[in-house]
Amino acid sequence: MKLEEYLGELYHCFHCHLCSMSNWHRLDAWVPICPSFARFCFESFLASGRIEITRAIIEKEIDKPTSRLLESIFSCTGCGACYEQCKGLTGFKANHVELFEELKAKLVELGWGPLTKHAEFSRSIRENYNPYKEPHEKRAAWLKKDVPKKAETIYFVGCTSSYRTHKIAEATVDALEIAGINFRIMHPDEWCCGSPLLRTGQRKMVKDLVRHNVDAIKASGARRVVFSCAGCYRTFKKDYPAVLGQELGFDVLHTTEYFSQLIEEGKLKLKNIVSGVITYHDPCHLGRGVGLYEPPRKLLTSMVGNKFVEMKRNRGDAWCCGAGSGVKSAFPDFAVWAALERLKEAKAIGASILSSSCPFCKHNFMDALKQAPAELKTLKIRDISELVAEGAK
Amino acid sequence: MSYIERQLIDIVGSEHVSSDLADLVPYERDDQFALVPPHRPDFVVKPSTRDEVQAIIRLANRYRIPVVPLAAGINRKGLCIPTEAGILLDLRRMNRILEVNEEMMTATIEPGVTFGQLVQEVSKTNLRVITPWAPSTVSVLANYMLRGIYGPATRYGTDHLITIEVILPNGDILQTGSAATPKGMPYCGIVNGPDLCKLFQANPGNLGVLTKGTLRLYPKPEVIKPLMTSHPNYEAMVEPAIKMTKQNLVAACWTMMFSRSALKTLTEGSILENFVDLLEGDFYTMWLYVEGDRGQAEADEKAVRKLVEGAGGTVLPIPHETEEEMIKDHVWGRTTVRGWKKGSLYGCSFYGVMKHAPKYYEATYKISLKYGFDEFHYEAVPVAPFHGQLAYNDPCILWDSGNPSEVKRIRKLHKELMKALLDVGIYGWFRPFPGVVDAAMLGKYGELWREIKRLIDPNNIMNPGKPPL
Ligand SMILES: Cc1cc2nc3c(=O)[nH]c(=O)nc-3n(C[C@H](O)[C@H](O)[C@H](O)COP(=O)(O)OP(=O)(O)OC[C@H]3O[C@@H](n4cnc5c(N)ncnc54)[C@H](O)[C@@H]3O)c2cc1C
Ligand code: SF4
Ligand code: SF4
Repeated sequence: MKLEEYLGELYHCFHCHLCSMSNWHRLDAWVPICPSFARFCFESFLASGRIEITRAIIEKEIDKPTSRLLESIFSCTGCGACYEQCKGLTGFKANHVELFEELKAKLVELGWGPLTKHAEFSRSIRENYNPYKEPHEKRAAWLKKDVPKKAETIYFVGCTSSYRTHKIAEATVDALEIAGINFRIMHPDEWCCGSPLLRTGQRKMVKDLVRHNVDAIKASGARRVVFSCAGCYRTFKKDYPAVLGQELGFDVLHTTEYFSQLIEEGKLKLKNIVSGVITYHDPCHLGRGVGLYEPPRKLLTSMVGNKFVEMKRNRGDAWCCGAGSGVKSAFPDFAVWAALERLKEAKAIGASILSSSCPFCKHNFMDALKQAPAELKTLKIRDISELVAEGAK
Repeated sequence: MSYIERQLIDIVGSEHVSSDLADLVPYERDDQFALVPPHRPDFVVKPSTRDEVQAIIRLANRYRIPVVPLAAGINRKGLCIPTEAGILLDLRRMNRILEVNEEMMTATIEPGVTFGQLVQEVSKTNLRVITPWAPSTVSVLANYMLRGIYGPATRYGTDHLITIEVILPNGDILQTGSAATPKGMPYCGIVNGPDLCKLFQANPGNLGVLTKGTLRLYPKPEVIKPLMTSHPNYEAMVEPAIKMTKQNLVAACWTMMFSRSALKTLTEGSILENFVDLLEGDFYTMWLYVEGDRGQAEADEKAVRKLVEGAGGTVLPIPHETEEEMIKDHVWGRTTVRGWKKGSLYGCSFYGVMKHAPKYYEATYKISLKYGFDEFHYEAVPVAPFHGQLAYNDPCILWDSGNPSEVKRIRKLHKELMKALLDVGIYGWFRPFPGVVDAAMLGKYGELWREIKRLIDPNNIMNPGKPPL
């Protein structure tokens, strides 16, 4: 849907600010949910304010950019918490995540964006097929063992695990091997999935990336693609069919789904490797983005039983780690602040491990941990793939 | 950067002031833009202390800059739209709960404290907050200052503010009631002379800025039990409503009418959706809450059922999920936003006589239909103390604010509806839109009201364009 087509709907936001708080009826608690509003406290950093700004841009009341305008729009992490609170209850019927992505694309189209940092990773993707300015040849440098060249199952590693959080990639490979899965990785044909571009309004190059990845997967004859990255997974599942205008023709699964299936099929058996309390952070792309809440919980409870404890804000009410939609690169302090809030929440329920199922969340939590006060430093950040690989050994 | 902006930055720091269009636009319009034209402020300023508010007000008064206080901005009457631009004073950083005093049954809070925040804090005690059926994101102090309508207004009334601290337009600090005495205890409003807290109530931020308030908390009931009834018409609800109010059987008594089409929109996606299909015409219902200790609540419920059935009504079974939601909304609202499901909600609330509710309802429903709005809802609520049969009334229309033709029709309807109500005979308006109350029509009362405004705010810096006009 084009931005202009939203106009009538924008008049339906009535500034009730439900989008600023998690569902207090469900949680019986009063806790903020929009990271950018909680941090910056200006209406322009809350969904309702961004909706007014969108209206003003469409109606040409705002006709030139300011750095503040860009800050307001691009500091939205696209976490979808606002949509979760607003949908169904109010008269505002648009999907905020889609709306704000459309808005970012509009700003880029108008030449007001992208932000410098976002343009940098766009350039890197063009040159290196990853946003991290890392050489493409080194994409699989983390892989220390041989994996088959041909297989029905592909493990799509993603840029973050390839270059920043190797352990998740290694653990995923280990777990798949233990379960006896015949799988391969795509390198050298794995390119960035395009998520960083889509989330920052830079749509030009996306179609090429999508086509390349899909063609490569199809050419390999694989029937199933497994992702340890929540962002890549959501992009393949939701955006790819929309970009291509057709179904993909192969199955896409997040590792938490796939590992759960393998346990049910008896191919994977997990033992408890955790001594303290463990909690789980729902990555926005996986939870609110795709609605995948239960498989990670099933995996964790099957390993640690009642040592798995929920944080107050969980599932649709989860607090965003703060990294998404280019916020980590353009607003690193804000990203770390949001992650620290989550670490505090985990600590407050007595957790010794904060688990998640997205390398980008882990990456941001690890950065936050470096800056955390002493009482938080003891918290361990683990991806579920890592826990599964250990528990399966 | 202007001189004024530099001064504001000196007071609150650069990260809490903005004159950037992106920061101003979100404050220029609210959902009642059809009746209150959008207008943008020049600055948004976010103080976090009383001293900062005082310095801002002094600056504004010196340079005659309008100031619009905003505590949450959810008043749905255009009261925070800066008619004459100026400073939008966003008070959401002043969100400290200064005291919850179980012994005194009070809480002392700053204006940015929301009902959600306060309910959570008070839930740790044996007390409760009287809440409106509004989203808990709204400000307690702004709401109590404006005198709202509350779920349990039938038992607890609308007067919950005891004393306040106000920064007057010249920067002086006023403490009302016992808070003015040297020891500064804020727990009593009725000492030494007139209760000046009341002078500031129902004035939409146009006499000064409240920086603190002490309010009443009440004992937490052991049981809260909602009941839902159905009746053949509006008239049939009025007599039992009056009786149960006079006998103090219910904490909340909301007599309501929903047109079938309104109900369809409101229940869409909920478990009550199918129920609407069974309806043949409009739906007349009372939402009643019995509260208290178990024995009392049971006895009250029995008496209420008898009154309802005696008047030809039916007490309906409530699905468990709905009952739970009704209780949660009563304790701290959330799903009340459903009223906006069509895109907007028009409401022109007023105080009137309970026995006349059917007349008000008929007059307003007729006008709504005349303008092509069939998604109509009416509510009349007896309010304690019930002398004069005081009742809050609200004719509501679900409409689409994204449709320019409906915007035009709502404007016309609004004028006609107000006139019709004055013709029937009402006590007066509840939290009116800026243009609704014209002090010039209120004789000596209006004159004195304007005189008071001139005395306290001679430069008319506080929220100009709002009543008294
Ligand atoms: C879905 C919905 C249902 C609602 N239902 C009810 C209901 O049942 N009962 C009810 O009472 N209300 C109801 N409301 C209105 C709601 O309670 C408003 O919150 C309330 O009227 C005050 O609005 P606010 O807290 O957002 O204050 P604001 O909108 O920020 O302010 C309201 C007015 O007070 C002034 N003001 C704010 N703070 C100060 C201050 N510190 N000093 C001086 N002036 C100040 C402002 O300038 C403005 O004029 C409902 C609203 C919605 C959206
Ligand atoms: S976006 Fe939705 S929840 Fe937020 S203020 Fe608007 S209507 Fe309310
Ligand atoms: S998507 Fe997340 S960050 Fe963006 S407005 Fe909504 S809640 Fe706030």
